[in-house]
Amino acid sequence: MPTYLYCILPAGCEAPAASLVGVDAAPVREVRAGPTAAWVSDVPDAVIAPSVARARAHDAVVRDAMSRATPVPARFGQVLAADRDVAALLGQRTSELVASLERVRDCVEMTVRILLAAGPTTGPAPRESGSAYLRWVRERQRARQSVTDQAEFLRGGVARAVEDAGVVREMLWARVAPGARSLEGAHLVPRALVARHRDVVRTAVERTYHTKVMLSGPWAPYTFCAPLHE
Amino acid sequence: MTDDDLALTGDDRLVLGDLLNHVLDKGVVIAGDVTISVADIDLIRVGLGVYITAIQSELDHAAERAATDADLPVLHPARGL
Repeated sequence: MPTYLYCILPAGCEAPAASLVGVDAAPVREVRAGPTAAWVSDVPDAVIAPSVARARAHDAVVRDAMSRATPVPARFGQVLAADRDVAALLGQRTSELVASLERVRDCVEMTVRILLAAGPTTGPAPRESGSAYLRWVRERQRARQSVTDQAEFLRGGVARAVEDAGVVREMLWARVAPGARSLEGAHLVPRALVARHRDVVRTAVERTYHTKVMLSGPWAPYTFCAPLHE
Repeated sequence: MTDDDLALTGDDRLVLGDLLNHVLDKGVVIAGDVTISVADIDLIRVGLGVYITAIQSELDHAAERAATDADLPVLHPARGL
């Protein structure tokens, strides 16, 4: 039966509980290979169609693994022919996986979303004359630039605050697209500092810059575990 | 870290959007044949939809607060405030 992959942990960690089930309520087990171990379960087919329930089940297994140690979470949908193929891939990727485990060790991911004030609205493009149209284009560019400047300013302020407070190991910020209404970042936060991180971010954004921040987490460090093969 | 510390917090709509975004679009890929099906796109749209709804409602609340609170300082990034 095909084997579905959830996450990778250091090999010394406790195995999943016998009662733990994953996608489609299949029992989760461990496949060990050298210094790493994968949490897997059986699935009936080689292609597993995504659904909200299956995405939740995938994340629930990864979240359970977080109670052992910080795992390298796998992207949804990786199915291999059998456990021995999982072990073979772990063996081939040992050095990258060990480096990834070390990168995220004792950390969780927090999603930070800061609301941006909209730039001046420019309305629909005028049709009456070329000069009116060019004025409209200029105004639209200014409005977009104002949102980009605002995002840059907030990103710098929050980055300084969390770094000064020592509550973040790494940060990744999404590019702010034209017309974006929020600035989104992923913060890799030491487990012991999650509550402090929340306070520092909220204080920086809401009290210092008087705008709204929305935080979610803690997540397994999905954003900090890049594909090794795509 | 205790189980309580691992409990997810955040706006429910954002939590669902973030969950889909993390699980479907991020994380390590060790197998080269992950199939992104058409259904994925629908789920990512669900995720984007809940983000937009949650963000819009926060923006609406912020606008209401600003309208009723004349003392609320206004953010002026260009002036470094």
